[in-house]
Parts: sequence; structure tokens; C-alpha cells
Amino acid sequence: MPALAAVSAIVASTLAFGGSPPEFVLRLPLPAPGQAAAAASFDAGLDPVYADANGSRNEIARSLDLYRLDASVTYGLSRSFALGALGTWAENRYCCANGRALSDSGFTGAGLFLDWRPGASTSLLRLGYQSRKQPGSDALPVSDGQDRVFVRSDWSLLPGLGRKARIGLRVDFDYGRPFEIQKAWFRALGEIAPQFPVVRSDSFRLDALATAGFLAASDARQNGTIFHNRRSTSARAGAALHLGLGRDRRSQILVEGGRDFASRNALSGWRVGLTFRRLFGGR
Amino acid sequence: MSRRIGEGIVWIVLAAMAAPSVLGAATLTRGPYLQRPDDQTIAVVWETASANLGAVEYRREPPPAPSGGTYRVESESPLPAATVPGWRSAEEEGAEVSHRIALSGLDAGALYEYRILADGAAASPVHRFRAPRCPSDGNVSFGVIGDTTGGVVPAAIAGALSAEGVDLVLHVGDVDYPDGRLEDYDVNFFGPFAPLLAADAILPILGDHDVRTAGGAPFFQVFDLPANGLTPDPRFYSFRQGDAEFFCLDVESSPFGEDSDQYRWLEKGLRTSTAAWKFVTVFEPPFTSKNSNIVEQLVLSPLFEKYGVDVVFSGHEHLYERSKPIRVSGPPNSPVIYVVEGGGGSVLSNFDPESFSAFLAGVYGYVTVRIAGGSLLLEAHDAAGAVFDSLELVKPVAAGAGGDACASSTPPLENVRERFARP
Repeated sequence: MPALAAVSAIVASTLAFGGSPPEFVLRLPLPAPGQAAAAASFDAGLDPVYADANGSRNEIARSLDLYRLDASVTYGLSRSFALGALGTWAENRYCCANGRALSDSGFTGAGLFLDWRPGASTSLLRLGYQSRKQPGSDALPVSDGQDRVFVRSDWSLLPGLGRKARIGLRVDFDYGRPFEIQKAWFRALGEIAPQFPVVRSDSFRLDALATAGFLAASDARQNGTIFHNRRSTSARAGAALHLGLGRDRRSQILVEGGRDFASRNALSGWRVGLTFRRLFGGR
Repeated sequence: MSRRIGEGIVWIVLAAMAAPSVLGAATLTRGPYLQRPDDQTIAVVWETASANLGAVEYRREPPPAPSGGTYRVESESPLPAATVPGWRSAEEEGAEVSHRIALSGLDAGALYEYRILADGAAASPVHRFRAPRCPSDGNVSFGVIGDTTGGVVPAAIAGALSAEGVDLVLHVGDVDYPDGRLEDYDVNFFGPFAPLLAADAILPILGDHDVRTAGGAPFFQVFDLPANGLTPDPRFYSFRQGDAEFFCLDVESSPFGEDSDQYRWLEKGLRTSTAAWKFVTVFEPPFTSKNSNIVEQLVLSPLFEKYGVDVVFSGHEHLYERSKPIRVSGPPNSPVIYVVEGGGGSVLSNFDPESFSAFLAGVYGYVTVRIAGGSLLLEAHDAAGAVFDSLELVKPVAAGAGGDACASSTPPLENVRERFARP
């Protein structure tokens, strides 16, 4: 019921908002030509359980926490293209088996990507490659050593929806080529993200987003640790708040929370995320 | 499909060659094979082409090379005409195609001879088995097999392992490739392993292939396993053999998380066990140089360590691997050795040795474990029986510490002829 009340409040505030169409909140905004963007994104998976092939929940004794920090810089090459680099740091922590924590942490790899905005659309496609360090630990390694190519995309759906809302579609795909004994790995995520403007002024704007999606992967892998080696699926739903600061929204903060449902051979639990992004130059 | 048909023909021919001339009208289409429904009982199971009144004749094996000694007659009660004096008989109440006769009241640890009767006529050659050992018996032996398929390798393993003379055999899962269908059990398992199964009780656990048909329902149609008191089917169970206790887990179709019935059952069983030696079978290996199951590492391994499990046996990966002693939870808990025996005939796995691996090989074969008091000898054999890895463990074990000495298990006269009514 509290969730229903929250949704009602968001819808009510949106209906009262009026004005010009809301800006589309992209996870992957394209910097203008000559402009640079720096972003840092922190994600945490807190106390997940493992859902087996039948969907049965398996409580993992004690506390398992999975943290990841992605940092990237992007430079706008043109109105349609930007080039960027990224790096990832992660920590896996299991506490405490007989007072002893199992953990691994560190830099897991770096990569390059190219962003493309097709024509005049607000959608964006990112194609990238990221190398991964060899696992440095037998216990909960943060890196799987499997280099990968990835696609991230944000699509604006139903642009004619009007002033009240925007609907985004996020489609991600990861592929890791086989290496040593590791089979090829894939991960695909599709997510719908309706977006509702909440507050807008000259100096800031606040948008609320709801997310609902489905993830499929060739194994249950998180932060480099393969928790189970069979096909893994999970539905997920969540909400987010996006805050744009400044007249041209040069600073942006995205706070996300979500939960997994109907998982099979997957870790399942709450996830929270915080992203900070700042644009530089190009005024 | 043609390969499967070919294998079927091979096993039918082999079964026909093995059939003794004593066979009467009834033809055994499966078995006999031995089961251990509880700590005192051996169940003899078989199937016949047509319904008949089945019986098992059995007797304690005469001592070797008698030098004037006499053999104790177990029963003098009236027996069917076809039976031999000195043998006991247990028979069914009605004609069946699927037969199961439980033999209880056996002398603990003693060797027995038995044969199958169909409508009073001998239907099998004489086989031997060892009765379950008494808890205070410090001498225990068992074999371990896993991921058995393909016919040729299982048949070789069956021949070599039969010659080892172990008390029983653990199967660490994937008994029936590819989908655990009832109609495939004979070709995949009962055919190639027939010589072994007639002499050693087999105690399997579910692998991922075994649960693909009706969640493993065929598995429970063919195996008669110890009850766990929690689930209608014994998907996980424990049993005792001498001074060793075995905890056989299900991670393919039963939750095993900290909040699960299976976890609480396991924790209680390990905590209250009085056995000097504790073993676990779990299909997916918590530690292996192929695909370790991390969830099992986090959930189950601390439990194994806390309660002093000695060795965990797994399959799933088609290789042999023995780990160094591993202690996830740190002192003062006990380190555990993890053994993967998945070389039962499926295509061998590749691997990348992990730092915890003590011995690793892509080899078809089986494992034997022999315990004498506080000494354990684990040997890994190839399919022909040659030993390629071994491990000795020694720990202080007080004589008779594992439990009360068995009371005389010589059955009272009125129980000599046991009847089994099928449920």
C-alpha cells in the first residue's frame, strides 16, 4: 500500500506539472561537441539470496554484499558521436564465517566505448570493449578474467505521449568470448523506464522513474564471481530519482533502488545505485 | 538414437550371457540390485518380464575352508520346495512384476549369499552382499562413482569396483543421462552396473540430468532410499555404516539455504552424529577447478567445517579432483577435503587447476575409501582399477566410540520368514 500511495503521489504531481515536454532522462547522455562528461556510478547488491532452478529461495547465511564502482569519461566528437573510456572497481564481501570475512576487492578492468545518437533522436547507443583482469582470489573474486564487448542503449519510446511522461527502453547486451576453460558468456537486459517530471525550476529539475525489466544470462555472475554456472534469469523492478542541477543540468545525480523477482539460478535481492555525472567545457 | 538402440542391444546380449542356466520360466529384466532403506536393512529389488511370486533365499555365507567346523543353520522352518535347507526365505504376498523384498534382522557386518526365486524356481545365480555394519564397527569401506553414462566405461567400472569388495557404493549424481527418463535407466545404469549392483547397495543422489523428467520422479521409482522424515521422497537422506555417517544432499530440486528444511536437517544431523567419520555427497562440487558452486561454499562449507565433515564427494564435472584441506570459516573449525568423481563415462571436462587443488586429472574411474578405526585410505582408480591417486587420513578414534555394540542380530525364529507387502 505505501508503494501504491507513492505511485499515486508521483502521478498526481505529474498531472499537475504541465508545461513543456519533460527532457528524456538518459543513462547515457551524449556530450555536445567539444564537451566532456565524467561519471561515477556506484551499485550495491545487499544480502541477496540465491534462487535455484526451481525458483526456490536459498538464504545465504550471514551477509553477502557486492559493491561496484564504474567511472567513465566521455568526449563529444560531434553531434552524433562521443568517445569514452571507463574503469571498474569492485568489492565482494561475505561476513562473517566464524568471525572471518571473505572478501576480494580491486580494479577489475578498463575499456573504451563509442556513443552514437542516431539522427536527431534522443536515443543513444553505446558500443564498447572492456578487458578484465585475471581473478586475484579464490574466494569471491571481483574479476572473472573474461574480456567482453558490450552494448548499452537508451531508447525513447512513444515520443508523442505528450507533456506528462516519457517512456524509456533500456537494452543492454554483454558478450565475453571463451577463454581457457570458460565458455562464452552472455548477459542481456531489457528494461522499460517510464519517466515522470516531479519538480522543475530554472536551477534544477527532478524526475521520477519506474523501472521494470528482465535479465537473462548464461550464468549467475556478479562482480566477477560466478555463483552458479547455468542459465540465469531474473525479473526486476525498481524506482529512481533523477536530479539535474544548473540551468543546463551540468551536474546530474541519479538515485536508484530495485529488487529482483521470479529469479532462476540467480542471486536475488535488493540493489541500490547512485550515479553522479558532470559536464565540462563546451559552453 | 541408433547409438542408444545399439547400447540396448549390447546390454540385452550381455544380460542374456550372464543369465545362468538355472533360470526358470521367469526372466529378470532388471536386477537384482541392492538398496539400503535404513541402517539395518538390505532391500533386494528386481523386475521380471511377467508377474510372479518373488522370493529371496539368503543365508550367511559359510566360513571359508572349513576345517572340521560346522556352519550354523539359520532356520529350520518349513521352506518352499525349491529352497535349500539352511537358507532363509523372504517372499512377497502376491504376484508382481516389480519386486522388492527387505531383509532385516541380518547379522551386522556379515557376508550373505542370496538368490532370487520366481514362483518357487531359481531365477538368478547366487550373489553375495555384506549386511549393514553395526555402529561400533570401525571397519568400513565404500566406493564412489558419478556421472555414469555411455555403457562401456560404466561396465569397466562395475567390473573393477566389484572386485574391490566394498560395503556399499555412493553415486554422486547424474545416474541417468540425458533426462532422467524411466525408460533409460536400464541402458544407462542397471545394465552396465549389474554385477556391481547385485553385490553392493547403491546410494545415489540426484544430479541435474536426473531431475529433468517430472522433477526426478523416475529416480524414486527405481531407488529405495532412507527416509528423511521431511519430504515424501528421500531427496536428501543420511545413513550410518559402522563408525561412519553419510549425509546425502540434494541441491538440484530441494532448497538448501540457511532457512531451508534441508539445511536445518543437515545441521541437526551433523550436530548429533556420534560417528567418528562423516561424509557428504552433494552433486555440484563446492570446490573444483572447473566450476565451483559458490553458493554451496558460502552456505554449506561452514557447516561441514563446524561439525567436522571429513570428505565431501561431488560429481557434475567430468573429472577427478582432490582438494587440499579447505577451511572457509577459519579456525577452530576443521578443514574439509573435497573430492570430485565425475569420471563415470561422460565426455571428460577440461579444467584449469586452482590453488586449492591437490590432485586433478581427466580420468574415467571411481574412488574407494577404506576405514579401519582411526585410519582412512582414499584411492582414486581408473576404470580398469589401477590406482592413480591416494590419500591417508589418521585421527584418534576411541574403540567403540561410534555407538553401542550391536545386540545379537540373530533373528528370532518367528521372523525368519519375512514377508513384504508392497505399499
